[in-house]
Amino acid sequence: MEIAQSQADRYLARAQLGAAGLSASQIADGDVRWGHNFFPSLASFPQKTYDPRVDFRDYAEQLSRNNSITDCLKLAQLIYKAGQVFGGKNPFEYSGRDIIHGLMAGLTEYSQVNLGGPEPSHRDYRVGVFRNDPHFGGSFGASGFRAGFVDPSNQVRHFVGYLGAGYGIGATLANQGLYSQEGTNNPNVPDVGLGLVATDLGSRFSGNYKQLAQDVWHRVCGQSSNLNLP
Amino acid sequence: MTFTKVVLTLLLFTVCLSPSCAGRGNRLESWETTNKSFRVRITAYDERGVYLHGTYYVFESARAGSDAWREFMTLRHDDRPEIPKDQVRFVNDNVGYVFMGWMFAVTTDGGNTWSIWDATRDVPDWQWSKYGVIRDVRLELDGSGKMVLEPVDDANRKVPEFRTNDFGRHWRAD
Repeated sequence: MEIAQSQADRYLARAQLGAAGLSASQIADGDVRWGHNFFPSLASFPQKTYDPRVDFRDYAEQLSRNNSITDCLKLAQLIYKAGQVFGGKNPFEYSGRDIIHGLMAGLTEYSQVNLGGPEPSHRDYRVGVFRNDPHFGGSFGASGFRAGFVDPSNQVRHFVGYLGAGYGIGATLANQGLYSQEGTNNPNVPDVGLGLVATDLGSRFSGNYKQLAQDVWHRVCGQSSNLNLP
Repeated sequence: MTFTKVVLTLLLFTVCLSPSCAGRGNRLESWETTNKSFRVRITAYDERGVYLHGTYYVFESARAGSDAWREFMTLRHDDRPEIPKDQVRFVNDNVGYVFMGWMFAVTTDGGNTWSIWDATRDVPDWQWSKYGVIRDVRLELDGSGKMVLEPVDDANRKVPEFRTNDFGRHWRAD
């Protein structure tokens, strides 16, 4: 019973934090700050039906349709959101594995990569991957990414895919796959350069999603200032 | 069993992603159009042998009334955009052109031969952050034409246009 209650509390806390991550009005306004209405009314969050995958998917789908902010900022916000809904219930209980799995399942065709192979993601919970998925949304592109990481494709998916590979099997092996997939190890090729940053960050990720969002903002989006996170 | 899976994963990440292993997978969808002289067909294929799947778009042509399809252009995309049905255009019975992403193809002999223009190959200083993907192409009956690009990183960035005087066999930045 205690375990069940703990789980319910955990979901409730995630719901509160998830909703606080970025409100619809903030998205519409292109506001990158968080912290407003941080603990909204509990009545709007039915405990028993909360599913973090749905929460993350709906957030991602909403972001994908928002043309007022860049795709790279969306990536940083999605990492933050994933930390909120898939991570631990407090800052001392980060769960890197669950965050990575949640990110991958929501933004790529895989839910994880390990030495047992990539596991496919579920079409009902991913955004911007396959056009015939029910929540494809507006997909993502390459706006706001550093100039060297830009190409005409969904660089959010590419980054998260290799973030997960770096986390799951380490940067060395993931990089070999990256080089093979791209046919070159030249970091000036956008997908290679972006993939190298992703595998590096993935291999060192231990669950601190706020730091990961900041690292993406700096190293992937090329921003010198910090994202204003709560 | 576990050992086998580990080996398979290592193969996937280190060997099977090589160009010789990757390639066209299952056919996803196909679409075609025609004028009085020739037909154009675009078929999308899943990409096999890679970690993050892309899509191959195979462009073929055949004489009107014939099923002898001949491939004239292939574009591999990291994602899976829709088949660009509104980007196959006929200028007259013998002249037609197609474009998608960063590639353009034109025929002036009813689909017998095609001239391919790949921006990433044919523009000497090509960078995605300087140019973009092809948004629109207009060819006139006298062979003149204009290509408008669309930036992929910043919608407000101004990008060069390209012009042709030979039905798009050659393009020069404007």
